[in-house]
Amino acid sequence: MEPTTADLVRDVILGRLDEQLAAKGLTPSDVPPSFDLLLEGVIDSFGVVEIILMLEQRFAFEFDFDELAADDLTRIGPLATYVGRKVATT
Amino acid sequence: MTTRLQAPVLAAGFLRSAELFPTRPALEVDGESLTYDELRGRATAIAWTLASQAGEGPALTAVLASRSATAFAGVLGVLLGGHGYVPLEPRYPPARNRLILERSGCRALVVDRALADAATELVAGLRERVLVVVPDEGGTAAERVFLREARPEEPAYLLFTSGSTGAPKGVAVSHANVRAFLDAIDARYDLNESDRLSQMFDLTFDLSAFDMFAAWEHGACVCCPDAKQLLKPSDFIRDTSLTVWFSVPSVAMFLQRLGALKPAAFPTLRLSLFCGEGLPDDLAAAWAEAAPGSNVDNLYGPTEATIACTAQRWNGRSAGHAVNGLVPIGTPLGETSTRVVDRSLREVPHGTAGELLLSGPQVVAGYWDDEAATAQSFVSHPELGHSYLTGDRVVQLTADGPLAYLGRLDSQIKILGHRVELGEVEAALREEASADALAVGWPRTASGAAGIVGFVADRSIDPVALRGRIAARLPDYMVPRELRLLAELPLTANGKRDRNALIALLEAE
Repeated sequence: MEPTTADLVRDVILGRLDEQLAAKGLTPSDVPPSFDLLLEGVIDSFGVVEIILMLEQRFAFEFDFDELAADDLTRIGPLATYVGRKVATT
Repeated sequence: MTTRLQAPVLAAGFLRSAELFPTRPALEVDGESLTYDELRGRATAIAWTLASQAGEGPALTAVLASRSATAFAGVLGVLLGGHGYVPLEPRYPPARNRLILERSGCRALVVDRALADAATELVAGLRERVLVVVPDEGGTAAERVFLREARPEEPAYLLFTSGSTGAPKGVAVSHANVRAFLDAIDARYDLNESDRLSQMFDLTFDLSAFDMFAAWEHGACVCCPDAKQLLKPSDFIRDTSLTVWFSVPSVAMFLQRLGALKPAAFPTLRLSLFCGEGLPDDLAAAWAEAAPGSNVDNLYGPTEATIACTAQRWNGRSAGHAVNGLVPIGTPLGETSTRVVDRSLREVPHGTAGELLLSGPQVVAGYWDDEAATAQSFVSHPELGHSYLTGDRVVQLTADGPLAYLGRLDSQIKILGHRVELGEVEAALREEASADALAVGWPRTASGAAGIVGFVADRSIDPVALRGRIAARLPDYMVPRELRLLAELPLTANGKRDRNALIALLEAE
């Protein structure tokens, strides 16, 4: 099966956080879609901004803050799905 | 009630509001809303515990708590007990917080229940015994509220800012200093009991004192966002119906960058305040459009001159006054006096850049227990007397025109509004790496930098382990986001270490 854009986004985010995940004893394959990067202590608020800016650059889309609930902003599944959808419609 | 109101004491304004508006909300935090009466009860209980166990006399008491009812009740309780408060940020490394406890000589520590174990560990290795106070959820209806009234010149709070030599510098801000600030802004902002103020700052950042004490003097409510709300401040403004917004410009820049500053997005705001770093003119314009019912004010002020001491109202456009695309920092507030001076403290002509010198009742006496640092930055001006040399380069184009910020005279930078001496980061890097090191602010933003990149002159070092050791010493915003290993650091023609060459290197990528 072809990986979707959302899968690719997920891989890019977790690839970027490799070091931080390892510090928590995790590998990217351990991370479920509901995993909250902020609440699990993988990134801080600076990290969230960095990730979003990195995704915008990498996938050439513009983030619209109003389209994503605060709870979903730092959860890997919803975040990747959102970026995948934006990329498809841009 | 035997509450005696003596205006200079910082908690007096809160007590007056608690008399006038006992059932109005004073604080919303962590999913909880506390009325003035409830918050007074919790604060008084803390004050009693401190008074019965920590001894008599003026003292400093630490508060280890963040974005919780205990954090705010702790600050008030410490003040009602006649002590000054020393905020400790739980997110910062224990080594940093222990250093602050030692340097400040605190004899007691108020802590969130959830952090009680961390607090016990924190005080375990200290030379002096420190009492750990874990407040109950409930309060007390005490007869006497002020247990010891502080004198105006005693510290209301003691904060530590980054120090260029590697050790943080303490700034003790007195009740009289804060009183002068609150008087200065009183007419300008005309706050009242229906206002709802944001609390975007950690307690270790002095701008948090504005949100608390300006609100509580007028019976208004402090609305403190949780971690998720901090990430999405646009929802926070709407969901909590804020009327007064106060943040560093970086937060607004972040919202603008992510498409959240849409026209009329924040209809409830009547006042929007920015401080802590340069405010880009186009950002002020976008914010004004997003909050059409709001006055936008750009504030300026180092911790040493108490929260903010100059201000510029944004009136549609700063045309003719904006320098480098930044809104000017404006004219002095209240009784503050400003001078633009050269190295001999002589005033420079209008239109010439110089160092900003501040004087007046908001300027603190000096650095905490540090005569050398005090002598370096606090001077006696022949006309104004006790004054603070800010290290900020400014220009005033005309005699009655606003001051415009140009940059720093030293290597201090702002990371998302936090003041950072690159020298302190470099000292930590050098010690932990046993090699020469430089730090630069990167990536750059319109008003500072979003992070730090460190360069170490030793290619054999493990950067992950080194970063871990730095993170165990410094607050998160001072920890380099990235470390680069070089064979040697670049030097200028004069043989000095060359930070600009490293910035050029990053820019070229």
